[in-house]
Amino acid sequence: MNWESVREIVAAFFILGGAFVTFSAALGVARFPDAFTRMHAATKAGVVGAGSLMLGCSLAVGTWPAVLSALVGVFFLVSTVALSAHALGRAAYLSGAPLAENTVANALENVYPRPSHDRLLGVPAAILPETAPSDGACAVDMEGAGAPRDMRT
Amino acid sequence: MNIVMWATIIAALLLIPAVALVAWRMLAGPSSADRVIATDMLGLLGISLASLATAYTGYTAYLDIGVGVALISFLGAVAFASLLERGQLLPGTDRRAHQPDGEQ
Repeated sequence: MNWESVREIVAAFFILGGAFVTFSAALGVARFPDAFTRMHAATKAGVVGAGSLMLGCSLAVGTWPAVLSALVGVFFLVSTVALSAHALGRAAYLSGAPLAENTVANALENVYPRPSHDRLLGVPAAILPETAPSDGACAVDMEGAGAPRDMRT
Repeated sequence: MNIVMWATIIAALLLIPAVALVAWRMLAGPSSADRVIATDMLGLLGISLASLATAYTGYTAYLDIGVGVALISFLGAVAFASLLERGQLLPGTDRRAHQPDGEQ
């Protein structure tokens, strides 16, 4: 067994593994019940799926510049996907993405003000029933329909 | 055909329905965050398809294209997240514009 066949077998393993993980993650993005669980699936596709595919295809080419390009790409993916996942998750919570029905706990329930989903998307302030708040506090309605769902009942 | 070409073809056959699934989620996501997540995922699928192209043709340039797309899609996702948090597209339509400075 020479290095050629070892390299080809390892490349095929990485390519098939990366493609399977990416397909599973796309299935998760399509079928998960919540924006947060979908983000969970998308980040796995980012690091494991795309990283394995890049490594496998660079091993398939076999030259050193290709492998170094793939290693640089994997390094960038590993270091940036986690940051974008954190930013997107925080933005999804603060912009009012609806939580799934079988959500067990909401650790940020009274920490951040969280508007209701349908009251914030694209509706200009002028045509809303209530305009600017009078006391200058947070403009989000915490007692009405916009309050987070009570999971204890 | 050797094993690498077989793996590339099977991987491409796995990634094509993945693109369709994520595109459906981008069209049907009930909130804007879902659409941003699906857009980010489509960028990652583009990186995966570019890597398969470099395994199929032998040109290393497609891998570098993937690295560039990874960086730019990260910047776009963070920009979209900041836009979603602020909650306004046009100045003057922000419902939280009357808050004291420094509060969320």
